[in-house]
Amino acid sequence: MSKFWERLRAFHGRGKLEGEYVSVANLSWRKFCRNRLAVFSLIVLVLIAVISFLAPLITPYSYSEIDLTLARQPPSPEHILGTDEYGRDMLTRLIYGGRVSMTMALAAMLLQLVIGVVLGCLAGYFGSWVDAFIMRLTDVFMCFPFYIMAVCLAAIVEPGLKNLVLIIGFLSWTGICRIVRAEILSLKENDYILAARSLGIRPGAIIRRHILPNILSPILVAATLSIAGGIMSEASMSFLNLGVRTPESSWGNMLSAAQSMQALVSEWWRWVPPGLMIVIVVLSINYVGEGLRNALDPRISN
Amino acid sequence: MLRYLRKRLLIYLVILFGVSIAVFVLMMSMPGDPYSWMLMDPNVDPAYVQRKLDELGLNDPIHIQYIKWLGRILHGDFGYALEGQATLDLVSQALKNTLLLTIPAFLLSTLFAVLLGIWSAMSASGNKILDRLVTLGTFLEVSIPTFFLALILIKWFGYDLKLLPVSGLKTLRVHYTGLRYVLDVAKHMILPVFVLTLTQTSGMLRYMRSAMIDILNQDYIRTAQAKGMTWRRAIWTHGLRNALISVITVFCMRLPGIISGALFTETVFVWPGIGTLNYNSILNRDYAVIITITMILAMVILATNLLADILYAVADPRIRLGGGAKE
Repeated sequence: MSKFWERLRAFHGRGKLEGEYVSVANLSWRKFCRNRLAVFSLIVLVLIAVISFLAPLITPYSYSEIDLTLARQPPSPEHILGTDEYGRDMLTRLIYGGRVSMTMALAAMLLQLVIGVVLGCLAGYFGSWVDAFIMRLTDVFMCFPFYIMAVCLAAIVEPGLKNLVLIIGFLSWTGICRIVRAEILSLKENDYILAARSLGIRPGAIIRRHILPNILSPILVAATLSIAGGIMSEASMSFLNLGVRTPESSWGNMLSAAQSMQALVSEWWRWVPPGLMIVIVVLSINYVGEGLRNALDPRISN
Repeated sequence: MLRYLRKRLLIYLVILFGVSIAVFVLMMSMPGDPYSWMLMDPNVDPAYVQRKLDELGLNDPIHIQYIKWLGRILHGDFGYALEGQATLDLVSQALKNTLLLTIPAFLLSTLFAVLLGIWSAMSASGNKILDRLVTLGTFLEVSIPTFFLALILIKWFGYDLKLLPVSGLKTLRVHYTGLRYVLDVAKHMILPVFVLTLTQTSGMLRYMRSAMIDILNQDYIRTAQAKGMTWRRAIWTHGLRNALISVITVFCMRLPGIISGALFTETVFVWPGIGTLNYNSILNRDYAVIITITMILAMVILATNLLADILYAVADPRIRLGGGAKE
């Protein structure tokens, strides 16, 4: 039994077993576990995610059903966070809103990851005019402030869940693309890439087999941080009523209640909780990202 | 230097061409044309509408339309807003108001970031509490949506304490002149500038802190101490100068933020700048204004990028002499 605990302790970064072999992934995990703040943030995130995705099991109320007799009630034992202007339970909307906000941020992250990694690989690996073209393309994208362009696009396409994901993904891939390109540029001079090339392995296979696994850590960190960015973008756009529309709830569109002066001044429960949730989740993601960055960096050891 | 600049300039021309195409595509996908409403009217001959569209060149092939549009832009003709003013006038007025917010915020945040960064780095080895506080502060700051922060401040300072005005550039329906007008505007500036300063400090602060920590471990700091300088003096005279190179780098990277950094803050504080103009134009479906804002902002950001490149070359001899090894 004590052997088991020793192993568990070692797995979570406390001490090392005698003569034990440790893989790189395992080593990174141990390093990550030694960062208490990052681990705590990860637990908070998992907890919030689980609660959000089990929403129907947790709250007895519906997030969309309107009951005007209950409108604008302050917090009470029945409605812990009060009700909004249509009498919907705020806690319920907060939980369902977390589901929407986090799913959207994840989807937007995946989209920008795909665009960024593909274009970054092409630019970095093939160089010459492909590189020049893709880099000028990112320059063009970076000339437009995100918010101006996002608002513009939201005016053209119908605002809504799916389109907002597309807009965020379409506008924010440039960062990941540049990171991937820079990593590949420094990586492709290595002998093992040259060896693979001289063996006649196709570029696609070289990128997949030999390059991507080696640049996984910066991509992982950038992807983590871009989830935080996605939550912020969703909140900002929905705050301006250009994103998720009611009756669907998201943290951003719940915050837009604060645009009415009455809610802002005297009904704190209608806008403070979603704002705090955004701060907590984004802060946690940033800490996890920072922890990952340190854990995956072989130069940092502690 | 000249070779480097010529190369950058060429690249910027290519980017500008790309920007113009992007804006044009955006414009073409905006719904509606000036005469489509007439088609609903049974008294209007559809042939007349067609003739009008021909006159405006809206039936030309797409590349002809692009060239014509580009020609108009190059002559400074960006079209007219729904209310009849030239959009360029609207945008340049809004841009002035935006700069009124962003330039003080930019200078203040640079100052805070440099001072706090050095201070925090110096205490990182000794008094850890200060360093921890600064790190926590920067993390908190990047995690709080600008508008949420702004809303909280509006509630506290505007409504609960009734200390500061929370919207607009000047008090409505009162016509101050001279010094009192300036004071009135300044009072309206306090909250938005505070929010902007806070949101812009953290990125540079983190950069400054890590650059300074690197420098503290350099041999020349120890050498200076060996020759009798105090640690503190060695940092301020030798360390700071070396840190300034990285300051200029970040300073340059943040320059475009002068134009685009205040979009959200403006919308929340109803400050009559670019961000508010953009948002209102979206609400009114005033596409000419939206297109002008997008195009002008992209051009200004491109120009600030060029300025940053020049500053960078002036500061760092490796770039100036190497003929653009940065690319």
